[in-house]
Amino acid sequence: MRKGRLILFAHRPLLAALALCTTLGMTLGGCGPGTDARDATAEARAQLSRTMPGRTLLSERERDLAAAARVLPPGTKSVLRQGAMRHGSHAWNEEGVPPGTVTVWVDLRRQMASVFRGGHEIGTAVIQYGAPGYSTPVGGFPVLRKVADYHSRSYDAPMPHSLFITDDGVALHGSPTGARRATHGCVGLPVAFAERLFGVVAPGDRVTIVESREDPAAGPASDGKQG
Amino acid sequence: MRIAPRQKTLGVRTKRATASAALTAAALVLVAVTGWTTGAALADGGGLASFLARSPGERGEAELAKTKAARLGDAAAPAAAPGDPEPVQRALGKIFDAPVESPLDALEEPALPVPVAQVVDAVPAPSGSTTSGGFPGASSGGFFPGGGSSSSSGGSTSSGGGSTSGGGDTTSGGSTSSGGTTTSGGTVGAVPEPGTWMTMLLGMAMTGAALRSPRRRRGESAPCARGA
Repeated sequence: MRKGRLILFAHRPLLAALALCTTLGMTLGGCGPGTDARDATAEARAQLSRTMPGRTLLSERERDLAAAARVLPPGTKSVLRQGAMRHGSHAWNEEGVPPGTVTVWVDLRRQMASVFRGGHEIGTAVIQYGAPGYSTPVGGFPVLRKVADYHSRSYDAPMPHSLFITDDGVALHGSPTGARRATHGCVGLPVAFAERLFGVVAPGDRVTIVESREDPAAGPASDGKQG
Repeated sequence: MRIAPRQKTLGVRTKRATASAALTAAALVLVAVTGWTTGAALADGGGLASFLARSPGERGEAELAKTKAARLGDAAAPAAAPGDPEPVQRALGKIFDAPVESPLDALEEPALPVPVAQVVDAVPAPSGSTTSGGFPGASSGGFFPGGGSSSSSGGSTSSGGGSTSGGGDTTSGGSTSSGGTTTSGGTVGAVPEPGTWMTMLLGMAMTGAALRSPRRRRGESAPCARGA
């Protein structure tokens, strides 16, 4: 009988492998977040989708990875559910997001900007940044002043909904968009997005400009300064 | 007795199969575990993965230098209207309405030793036969020095482009009665000298004579005679 079973397994190695795998996987799975934690996460997600639709809750691990790669600010709770974006497109969804601290996260490498309120992403857009020779400063900056309808004297260019972050004129502002466009060091946003951003950001709010690391799953980032 | 070897081989086979099964299982477990640790966080459906996927990607080095004529706007490449008979000039510069200067005008310039009016006075009125040969305007003492010359110099061929009269040569002082009008520049005459004309005529005459010579006729007829 015993020999017979062995022979059975011998003729079906895949079956044996599957059986083993299932057993081991279940045991090892228990070492992970645990079933309770998973249930809790699922419950939180369900609740989130009820109260704040259109967004995805990040797991703790995702949060750590993203923060390490400087893809997202530390302490990010949820991000918008949003497909691939092109230059000129933006998304905005602050439904159900409670009031809180507003932060802006600009990633030059990914050409993306995100606005967070209390750790929940409420808006995102594709950006333009400085051309070679006019590099956009990297670091953390407070919003110094807001000018709804600014016109650049240096470049004789309109800068609608400007949020100035440095004393020498670097701002987040509405700008013509396109994959082949760049700025003189500012962060150019789609005008509609700039308008909404202008509405939620107050002077003193934090703007962080980073160049994120390519692979979030591969350790801490080397560049990008936390200001 | 007959079954024994078979059982033996079966046993070996079983061992091998079990070993391979165990190996496969181990590999699968390894994959599953590593996938759970790193991949699961970025698995599809995960918030971070979709967050990363929404970016248009990095801006390449060449991205800002890329251009297409059509995208540069109409100023750079004006499209011709369908029914437009006149093509739009793009590559060339301005077109000027002023007449093009003739190289002949440039040659005419060199300072005349004698004022034109004087020369004209000095030159006898051209005879009917000679005027036909000259270029228009030649009589003003320009490029063709002997344009209006007389027959007095003796050449009088009237067949050539200009009249004979020894135009471009030598008479640097001008003011000759022979209608030499001319031209300091001297050496290069556009009209051949009489001697040259004569030589050419002589050559042509000889050619003609040779062609018409009885000897040649004989020479031509010879092969025919031979062939026939």
